[in-house]
Amino acid sequence: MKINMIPLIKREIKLSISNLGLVISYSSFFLLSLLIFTFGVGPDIKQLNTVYIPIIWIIMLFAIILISDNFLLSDFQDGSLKELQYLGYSEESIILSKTIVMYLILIIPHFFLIPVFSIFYDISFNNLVQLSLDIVVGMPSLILISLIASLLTIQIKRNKVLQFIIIMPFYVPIIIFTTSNNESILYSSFDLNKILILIGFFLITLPITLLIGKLILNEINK
Amino acid sequence: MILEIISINLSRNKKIIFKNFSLKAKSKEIITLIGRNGSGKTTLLELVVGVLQPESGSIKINNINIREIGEHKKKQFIYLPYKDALKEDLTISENLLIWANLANIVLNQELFKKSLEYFSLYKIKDVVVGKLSQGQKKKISLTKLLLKKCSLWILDEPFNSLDKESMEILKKLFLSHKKNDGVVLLASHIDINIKNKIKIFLKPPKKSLVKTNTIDNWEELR
Repeated sequence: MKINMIPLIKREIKLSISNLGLVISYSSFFLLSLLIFTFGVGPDIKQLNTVYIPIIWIIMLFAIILISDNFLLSDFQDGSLKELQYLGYSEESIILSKTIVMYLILIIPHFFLIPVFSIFYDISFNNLVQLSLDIVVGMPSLILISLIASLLTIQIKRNKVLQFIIIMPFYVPIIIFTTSNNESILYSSFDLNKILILIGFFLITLPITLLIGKLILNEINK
Repeated sequence: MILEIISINLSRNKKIIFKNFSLKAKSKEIITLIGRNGSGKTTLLELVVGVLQPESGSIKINNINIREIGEHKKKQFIYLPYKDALKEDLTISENLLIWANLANIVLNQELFKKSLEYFSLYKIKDVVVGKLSQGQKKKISLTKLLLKKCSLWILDEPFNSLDKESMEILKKLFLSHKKNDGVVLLASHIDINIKNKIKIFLKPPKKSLVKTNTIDNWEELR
């Protein structure tokens, strides 16, 4: 099947721009959760500095799960998901275009949020660069998995609990590697291996999630 | 032959929905699928547009198997499902332009204006869809028929939510499409009075398999 994803991507961008509340709720969820963690851990900046990586990744994971429903559930409810299919777009291209636009839309707030992290957690410049790169490379895998989770929610009749039980294990390897506090990071040197591992995870996640997504979409139509 | 359904079989939840069901539609025909809720009208339309796959048998549009049409589906037919696939946050124009872009239609201003005027939508083209009535939303969906030039129109409950006047306008549109060698295949739970249409009655599937929408139990009237 010939895949022309440009109209799909244009559509998703247009819809996302018209619904800027998504980016605002993502950013505010992020910021508020960071604040709560900061108050929870206490004012000790040294302690905060040692735990900031898992805190940021876990908040990001929940924020993405929270937002991903808006990219698929509304399309399912108003019939757009089926419309895209009978217009000839493959299931893979629908999921991929949503992933690309969700990534583009959600990565933008990080340019503003990352400097805020650094103030909250006293992150050095080198660590900040490493964290930013980790987010840029690790985020697509999280988005792909969360989109599959949203599709599962539709398939299993909007049972959010089941979604978490089924999909959570898939996040675990990514979270383990993104939150690993390697010695190289503590000594403020750039960790290329971590980036390569995250790229590897993305390359594994991409075909698997596209295949699962296609199967779920076909199942939803039945 | 524009549309050819050849001996399709489909079962769902252990019930046979279609058993050796065949249907042929030539140009200048209006075919209405009439039946109670759950009789398989929408399922048949979704089989025709390729969202669902029959267990056996084939469906051809302009002599090409629906499975092989792929992205060219866009050019072969227009399908207006029961759900209008409209985005509530966008205006009428924006919704139609996004759809046109997805369907690979190059719109000119004049055609766009005329199409909107046909269902009295031009004056409210910049109104957000969320603020419109169900009837107006249906009209937006029906405007797509005027924007895209193709011979086969497939419509699911097109008369729903329309007032009497709009129903008459739509009937006239069907007749003019028929005159121009087009085919209209529509599903409706109401028997609408249109001249020289072909009626096909679909019966709901029985509890355990045997008598369903076989070719013997649809009635043809001209």
